[in-house]
Amino acid sequence: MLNIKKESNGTELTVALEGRLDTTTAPEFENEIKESLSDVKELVLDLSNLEYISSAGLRVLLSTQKKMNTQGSMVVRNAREEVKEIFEVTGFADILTLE
Amino acid sequence: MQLIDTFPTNKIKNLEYRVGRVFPFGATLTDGGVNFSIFSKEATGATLVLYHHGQKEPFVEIPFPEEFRIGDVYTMMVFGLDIETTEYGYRFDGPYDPSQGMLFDKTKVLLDPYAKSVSGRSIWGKKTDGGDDFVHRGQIIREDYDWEGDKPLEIPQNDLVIYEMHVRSFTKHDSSRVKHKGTFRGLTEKIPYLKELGVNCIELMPVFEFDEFENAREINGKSLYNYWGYSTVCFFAPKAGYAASAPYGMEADELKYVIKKLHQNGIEVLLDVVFNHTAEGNEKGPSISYKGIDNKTYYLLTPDGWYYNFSGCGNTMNCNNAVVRNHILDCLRYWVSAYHIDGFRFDLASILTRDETGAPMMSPPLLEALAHDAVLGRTKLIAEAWDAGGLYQVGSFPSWNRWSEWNGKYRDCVRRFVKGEGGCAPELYERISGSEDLYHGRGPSASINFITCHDGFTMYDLVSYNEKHNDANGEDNRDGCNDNDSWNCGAEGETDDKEINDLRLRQMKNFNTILLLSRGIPMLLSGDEFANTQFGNNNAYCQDSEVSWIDWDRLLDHKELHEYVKRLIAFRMAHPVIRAEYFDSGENATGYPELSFHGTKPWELNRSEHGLVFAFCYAEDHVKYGTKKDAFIYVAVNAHWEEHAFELPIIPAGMKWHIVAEADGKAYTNGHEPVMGNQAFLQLKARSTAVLIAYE
Repeated sequence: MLNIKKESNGTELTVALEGRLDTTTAPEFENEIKESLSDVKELVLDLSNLEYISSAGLRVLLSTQKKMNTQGSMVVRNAREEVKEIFEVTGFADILTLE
Repeated sequence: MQLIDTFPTNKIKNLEYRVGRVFPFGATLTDGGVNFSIFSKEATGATLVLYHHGQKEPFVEIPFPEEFRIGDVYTMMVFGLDIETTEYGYRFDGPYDPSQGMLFDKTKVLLDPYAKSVSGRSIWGKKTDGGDDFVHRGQIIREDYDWEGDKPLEIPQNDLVIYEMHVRSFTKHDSSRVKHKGTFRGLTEKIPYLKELGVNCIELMPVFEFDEFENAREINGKSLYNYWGYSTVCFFAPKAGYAASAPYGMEADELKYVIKKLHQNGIEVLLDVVFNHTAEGNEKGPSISYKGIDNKTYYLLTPDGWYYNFSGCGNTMNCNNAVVRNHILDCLRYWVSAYHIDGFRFDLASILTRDETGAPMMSPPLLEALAHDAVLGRTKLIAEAWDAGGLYQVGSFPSWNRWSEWNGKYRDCVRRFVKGEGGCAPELYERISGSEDLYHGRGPSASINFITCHDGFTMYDLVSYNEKHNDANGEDNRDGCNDNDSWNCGAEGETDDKEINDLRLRQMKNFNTILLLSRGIPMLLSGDEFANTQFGNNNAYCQDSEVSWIDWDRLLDHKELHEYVKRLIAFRMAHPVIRAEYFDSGENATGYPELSFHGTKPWELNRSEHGLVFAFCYAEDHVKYGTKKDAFIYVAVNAHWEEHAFELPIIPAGMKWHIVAEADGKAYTNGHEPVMGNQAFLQLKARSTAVLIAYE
């Protein structure tokens, strides 16, 4: 299960994820984010309530990062230790901006 | 737009499927589905078996309908699978008749030889619940890695300095002080160290999936494992237990990350690959994959169906069979294209020259195919040019001018000479020159020069032990090589005797000096640069312990040696004449022979006579080699137990001799070599070497 909460403030968009981002939920997140990015300059992903991220989840983050590289910036905030650990061992931490 | 050949046609339970695509073999993501494709020539039927991760029983088994087979290939596309939680295997039906080489058994679930990830051993040394019924199962991965512009580095082969390592041993010891000890990720934390040392290529001992529990046992309360992994379970999957992220199914991403980071730091990655045999052993070994899929195709069998054992490990892969040949090619192409691997070292490569009866061939089709392959066009190919069946092809391995070889003769000759066997002096001059006697017409970079490698003593042990000490391996010290050409310098093992310890240090410097100043590609064993020890164990294949784990604290104790090696590497990199592509030794524009040999008097050496004292000199022509100015590099070698004075060659007016390195002292950084007080003579202590450079 994944809950997605979006909060928009002009060109700034904050998306908070709660639950698990895996093969089942990643397509849903991908669609949601695709629809909302058009005028966004600053994207903030708040992962404080994200319990688990899988290979599919990492890939959606990465493709979102690629998209934002062309139109603004993206930061990943408040990731839990378990999630941070996955970013770190796979090297995704190098590509994402973690805060 | 959905592709027409991805519409389901069949259904079983809630799962839809259809005929698949023949290529590529293995399990591959397609639009909304997974394409499965697998070869078997002799089978009469096949079934795809799907599991939820870690479950004992499959959630579905799908027999391949006859119309899903093209030639000897079974194909199927399955839709709606969650690839992150699915494992797969196959059952093959057919005759069970060992005398005919047929071992079909449809009760067994077999591993796909093309699986890109293998489950069940995702944490090193931790068994899964399967017990004796344990089956290696395939997993499906995403191949969409973000390489950020990376590709194989294609460093010219003659410029390489290779550093051989075991992934786990390199950082497992607490003293490594990395966060993820013993893993691919841990290795990335040591990249700054490698860069500072100056090596530009690492060679990883096997990283294809193997089972550390194969032949595992307990001796005196200590567990012994299949630690090195020269026994492959799956040639397309990285060893999951080496990845900190394998529990998340991301070992492939983690290994790719390491390779990308190494490349960003100018370091190539070679893999040690073991195609000569598999983990399935002989008649008594397990049926993991090939045996039950097509035993007759994949293995060399006697006319009665027994396994030929040219590998010394129970079975021998039928490498020159057309199907197996393609399998090996597919595998290597995959590692180059999907993982950006820069080259391969082939374990017991002489087996790859044998035909289906085991006889060696003049032009083995596999080796020719590898030499001329499109994807492998710029990949380094290195042969361990011998096998356990008695073939020894150092200097004669079929190469098509593409293959290079581990030069075992170099190792043996240098070891003997340095310990004091003057009889090998004439051969040593050839070895230092790049072994033209072996690689005439090919060039020095066909020769991978080494003193030590994973097989045998570490360098410190080579100068500290006369005999192997392998009791911890539980075979009453029978295992491991007896001919080590080692010398303990006066005491067996650790000693407080300063004179002996000083001599050992000097001997290690002597070895490194000869290795790094020889033509041909030097290969170092990781840890040798700071005197790593295996406590006299010369066959640590089963030791997942302090015996194998590199003790980084020794770096603090052996800083002098480490600096010495580091500076010699830097010196080699600064002087292309040593790394020459050709065997040029005749006179060049300096007016001197490019490589000359000398006695204690310059130009006076009978190269066919025994001896323990000599020197060699490179004349580096700045125009030919693109350096700033001409230079002369003089290396004096005294393997004698007495001191000797070397009269230095006369050099062009205005040039002065400088000290680069003295085994009895230190090595200097490039451009900061002190001028020698005495420009005519060099005094060398017993068993010592020195490197000088002359320039204006």
